[in-house]
Amino acid sequence: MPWRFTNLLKKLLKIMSRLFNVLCSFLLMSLTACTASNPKPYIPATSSVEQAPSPNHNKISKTTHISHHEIQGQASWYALTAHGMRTESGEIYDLYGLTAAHASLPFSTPISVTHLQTGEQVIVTVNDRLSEQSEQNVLVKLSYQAAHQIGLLKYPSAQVKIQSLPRNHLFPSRLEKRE
Amino acid sequence: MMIKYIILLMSSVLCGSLAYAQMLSQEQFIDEMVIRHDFDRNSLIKLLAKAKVRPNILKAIARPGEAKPWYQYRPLFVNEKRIHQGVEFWKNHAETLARVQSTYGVPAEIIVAIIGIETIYGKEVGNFRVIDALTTLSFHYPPRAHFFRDELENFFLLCREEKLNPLNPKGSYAGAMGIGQFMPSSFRQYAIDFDKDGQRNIWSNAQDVIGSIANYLNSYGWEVSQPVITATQVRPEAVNKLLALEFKPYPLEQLEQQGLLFHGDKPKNSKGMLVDLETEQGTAFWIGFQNFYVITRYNRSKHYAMAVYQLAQEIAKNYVKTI
Repeated sequence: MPWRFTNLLKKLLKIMSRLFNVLCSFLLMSLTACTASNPKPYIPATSSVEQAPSPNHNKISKTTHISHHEIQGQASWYALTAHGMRTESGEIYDLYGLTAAHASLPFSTPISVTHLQTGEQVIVTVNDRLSEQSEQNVLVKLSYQAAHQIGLLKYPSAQVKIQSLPRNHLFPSRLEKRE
Repeated sequence: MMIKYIILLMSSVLCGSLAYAQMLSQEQFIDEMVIRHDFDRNSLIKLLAKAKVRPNILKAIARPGEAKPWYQYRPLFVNEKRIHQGVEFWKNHAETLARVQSTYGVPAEIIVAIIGIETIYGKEVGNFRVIDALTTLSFHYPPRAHFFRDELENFFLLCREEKLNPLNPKGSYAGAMGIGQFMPSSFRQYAIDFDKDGQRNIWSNAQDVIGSIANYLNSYGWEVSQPVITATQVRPEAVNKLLALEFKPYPLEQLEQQGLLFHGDKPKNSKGMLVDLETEQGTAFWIGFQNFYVITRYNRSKHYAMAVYQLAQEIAKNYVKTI
């Protein structure tokens, strides 16, 4: 019967995707020598700033864990009034930068952000914190340029999925001193 | 009836005298080259006779600047293609760029970005003979005759110094030459023979081009390891007054007294200039430091300088991924 077959196929796909995710998380963990097996969210052990997860973080209404290290949720972007302001990390927000605010990920963490409707992806660096009062339902707030690149401006209500990346994903350490 | 004839006569006399005045000016130019620089009169007369007046150059120089808003200007230069080509150029000239960085302290990506914006890394260097461009603009465009006449003088001098036939070098409609689009006066002051092969060649020698651009920026005051430009806020009521200041850096304390709200780290005694750019979100502000001002000495446009800076950042980001 057709529906039994599709059911079986779904189960098979689920098992395969689980296997794949486990494989990926093993690879990721070995890359950063993460000692604690913490399934959510991925925080590199090499981070210098350890942030306790904010109380918002586990609210089911805001985010969905897709797998061990991918989270799906709502994204927003900075208004023009933020341009030139100091972020929580001390860096100045520039609308052309590829940066993001997150509730808890350590500053300088690169994250990939994929727009689930357009499929476009951008890698941004976390350098700011979301406001606990006004941004409770937001998973990540992007710089204008990052939001523009993934089509968030055109499709603001669609969700994104984010994934932490190793610290040295974008820049070898010598480049961080550049101007 | 009589009046019509008188008017016709007077206007033809006027035209004749204007033409005479133009010819006189070319005569004067030759005189000055002979007296000041010991050029051979007959050779110069023969040479200038071969130069052609180009009407399309006169059209181009008289065209009002298109003045695109920043958010339309930016994608013309800061785009995937130009970034990718910039990375390729850097890879092909990594050694020279590293040498120039240690000699002059100018970051490789800034030089690569300038070359990318000026001529798409040497692909579009201009198709006009420099002699045609400069004679057309010296003797047939009164608004800027003085400027171009000086450039023509420098052009003949550099051809003599570099042993070039003045009929050969090509450039833009304004006489900007080679991969870096140097004007003749800039060439004579700042071009260098970076690979020491005996010639300053900015048309086909990438090493000379790279060295010359670095030397130019260094000479105009590039500050090693200092920031170029940073986003800033401004008190709304202070915007017009700050933008009315001259297009050059002022002490930050002075600007802050006048309403600048800069939240970044300030090097001591730093100077800056307020830069306003029209983005898709609205007008945003930056404070351009000394190094931003130095880039504007290459081309006096805030759009140009910001495009150089942003293209440079993107090229650098992509370059590190390849090494």
